Amino acid sequence: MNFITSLFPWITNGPLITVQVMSGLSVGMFLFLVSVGMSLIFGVTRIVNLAHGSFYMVGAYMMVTLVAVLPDRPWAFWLALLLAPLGVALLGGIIEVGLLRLIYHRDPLLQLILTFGLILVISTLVLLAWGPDNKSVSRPEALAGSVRILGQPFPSYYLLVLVLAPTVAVALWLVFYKTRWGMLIRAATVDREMLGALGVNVSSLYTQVFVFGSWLAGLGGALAAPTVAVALGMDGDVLTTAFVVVVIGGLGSFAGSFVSALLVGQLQSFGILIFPTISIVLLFALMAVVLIVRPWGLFGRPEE
Amino acid sequence: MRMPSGPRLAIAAAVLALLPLVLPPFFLQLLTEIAIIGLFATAFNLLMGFGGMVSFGHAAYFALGAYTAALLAKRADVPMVLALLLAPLVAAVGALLFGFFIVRLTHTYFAMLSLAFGQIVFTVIFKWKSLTGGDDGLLDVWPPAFLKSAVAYYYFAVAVVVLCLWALYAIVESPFGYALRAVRDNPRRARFIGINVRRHQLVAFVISGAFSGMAGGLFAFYNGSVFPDFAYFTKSFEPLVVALLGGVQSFYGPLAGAFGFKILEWLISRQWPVYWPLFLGTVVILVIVALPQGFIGLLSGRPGAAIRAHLRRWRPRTHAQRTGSTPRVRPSGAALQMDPSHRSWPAASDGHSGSTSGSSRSTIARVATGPADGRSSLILQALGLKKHFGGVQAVNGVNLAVAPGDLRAIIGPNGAGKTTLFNLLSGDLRHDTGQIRFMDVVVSGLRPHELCRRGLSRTFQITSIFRRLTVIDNVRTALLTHRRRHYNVLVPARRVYQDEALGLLERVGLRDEAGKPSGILAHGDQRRLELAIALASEPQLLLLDEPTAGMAPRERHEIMAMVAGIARDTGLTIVFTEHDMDVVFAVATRITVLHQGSVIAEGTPAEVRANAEVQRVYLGQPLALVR
Repeated sequence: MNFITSLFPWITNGPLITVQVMSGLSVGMFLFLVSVGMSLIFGVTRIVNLAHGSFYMVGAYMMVTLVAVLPDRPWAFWLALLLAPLGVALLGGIIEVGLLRLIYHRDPLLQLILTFGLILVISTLVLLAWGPDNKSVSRPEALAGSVRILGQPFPSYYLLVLVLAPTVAVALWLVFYKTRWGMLIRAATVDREMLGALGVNVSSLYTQVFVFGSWLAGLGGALAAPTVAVALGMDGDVLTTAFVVVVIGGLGSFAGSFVSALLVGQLQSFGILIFPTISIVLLFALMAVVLIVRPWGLFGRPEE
Repeated sequence: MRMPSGPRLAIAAAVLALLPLVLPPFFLQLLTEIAIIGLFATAFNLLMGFGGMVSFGHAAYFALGAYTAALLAKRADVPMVLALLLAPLVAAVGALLFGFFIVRLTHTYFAMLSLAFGQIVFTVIFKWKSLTGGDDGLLDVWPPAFLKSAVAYYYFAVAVVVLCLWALYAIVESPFGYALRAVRDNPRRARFIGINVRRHQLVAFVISGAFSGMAGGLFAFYNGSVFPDFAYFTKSFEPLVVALLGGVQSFYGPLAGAFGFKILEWLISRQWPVYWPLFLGTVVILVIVALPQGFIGLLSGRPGAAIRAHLRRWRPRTHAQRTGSTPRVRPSGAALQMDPSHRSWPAASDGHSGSTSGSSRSTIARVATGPADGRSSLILQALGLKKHFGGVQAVNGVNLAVAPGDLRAIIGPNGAGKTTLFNLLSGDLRHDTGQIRFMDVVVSGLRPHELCRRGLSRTFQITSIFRRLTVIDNVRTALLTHRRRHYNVLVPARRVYQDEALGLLERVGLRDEAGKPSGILAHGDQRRLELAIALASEPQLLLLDEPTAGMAPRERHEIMAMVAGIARDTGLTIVFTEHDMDVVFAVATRITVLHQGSVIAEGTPAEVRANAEVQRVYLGQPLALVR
């Protein structure tokens, strides 16, 4: 025990650990919002959407503009939080109908490369529209400060995330398991051809799912905007992490995204304490191990 | 895709050698970079275009080569040439280490694991500041004085790249490359012609990694510095995009792609640096949506490749072959001819009918399979085989004994377990309990390619061929792997086994289709081709899973008569399943009847026909009433 405490002096510091868990939890919640959309899109359309991080970035930038444009009232932030994801959803819809629809029957790897092309296009367009400088969004007044948890300060804005993301998760679960639309989505993840043969308009379902997944990415970006510097590189950062989350949880698995997002959130939060320099290696090493042992992820189901 | 003829090569070499006289140094640098990226993309395309494996982390091997070269030159004062020799070596070791795991996965998962390993390499380089300099990279990595000028390094780099490309071309066109294409087209079939698929993919992965590392090393000295960005995942897309732009089906596609890519990058970045990613992204999207074969494909009219190949038919090759190009096979085939367990399949002399008459009997050296030393005289024996899927007992204690020379039919209603039994016997599935003996050796648990090497071959219920190879190359590749030459990279594959391949095609009546892409053959012809592929492994035992599935009744009888003829001529033992009872009773020497995973009857056609239980099963009465 002495050895451990000398190595990790914080290990007996209960309050610090609590705050660390909390912050890991909020990171995990952000990750869940982004990755569940990516996972959902893959589950139904079989496309690994590498541009998902770009949608997240666009959501954050739209937040910047909306907060600046809307009148300086307390409700402006919340209206912006509502509108920004909708804007991203619209963008997703345009891309799905205009591009992806043309290549559903093609080699999945070509689809992957196409979404990579989208990354390049979107990042340049964002650069042209918003310029190269970092932006920031101020937090709404009510959540600007911090609360004390066991004597340690914790930003109160993160509480919003800790409430909102589980709400979304529950809502998603209800949609998936209690509505006809959710049933169709679950059916599509299992067997798309069969669903089409049963008379379901699969093509329209694809569009709906893609729009919905984009909306989730936009929501994640809009929510994150006040917590980070809104900058051009954020698409790649989010993409790689969300990608790891989705792969570990299992592509196309709702529960997988949730559990794995929480896991990765904690890993990041504590990884920085334990192995400050190699926490990212840890993340990719975990993903590699999962891919080797269970390529379809912790909660996914094997292909074929 | 033919090797450029002598004059074309000479002209190309002369142009490359004379360019420095007319081009300013800047363009030489651009050309040097094009050559290096072209090499990187070509090495990448060995996997993508010829192996069907798309790596999303190839920047890792490029970076391993670049950092090896830079570290050796900078920290250990190793001379440049030695550093450049070690760069691909280190990259190859990395590729072996990661590839071992990556090739276990397929498609999207393959891509993702390669990306994960690539990011690990990036992070290690990025974080290991004391060795790699971290974010600052390693600066002042220059070649020795005599290579420092743009002209000198141009000559040096282009010469190295040309050498590497020549080696890669030889690999692609070698038996190894043909087997790699076979793995790309149909991994399952590839196993059943005796290829250890994972190992083959791993070897290709390591080769590709080594040449990527060579490109990285060259680039380090060209650039004068190395940075962690070299390993970042966006860098991994560069060879992918380049290969895609140029066309992945063609060996030279990635080179052309590198040329177009770098020229465009220069033109656009010079004027509007901000717009370059936008432009690149748009081009990538357009190419994928509109030009699946890349620009090379556009130039050579590849979208209609299948049609053109169809028109070309077998004109060039068969003529060469007719005028007698036999001796090619000789030198390395000599050892094989001494091995009595190999029968040979020479072309039936000048036959044109494709019939299976016994006219070529003299060429077939039948080996007595029944040994005289008192061992059992069975070629295949299954004892108490069981296999279940979840709660379904698909095969429930099957005993089977097949004597050499048998033409054994396995029949039974749908769901009787015929295909599962076949998959157990051929090693495609592993049985739960029981034992399989093949030629008096227990072969339970052996994998398909191991069984294939011992003389067991099979066809599938759903036609399984190498669809992007020509008809003759399908058979040729099977011959190559059977003779254990598929790791050979020293001879061009298209020169070997021409006569034997044509002989086999003759036997199944496909000689006239030899030059066609196999994917465009009619269904019945594809089934014949699959038979020829299976025969190319010179099996002792051939398993045919519904060889006539999807054929017209008349064609069924034709095919089965052909199969029976081959079996008679060669003493080949055949076990087949079939739904058409007319066919079964016409050709089978013995029949085994499966029902609900168990054998309910076995005997000669007459015995089985008279068997009361069989009649009841086929008449649909419940088995319980019988007992």
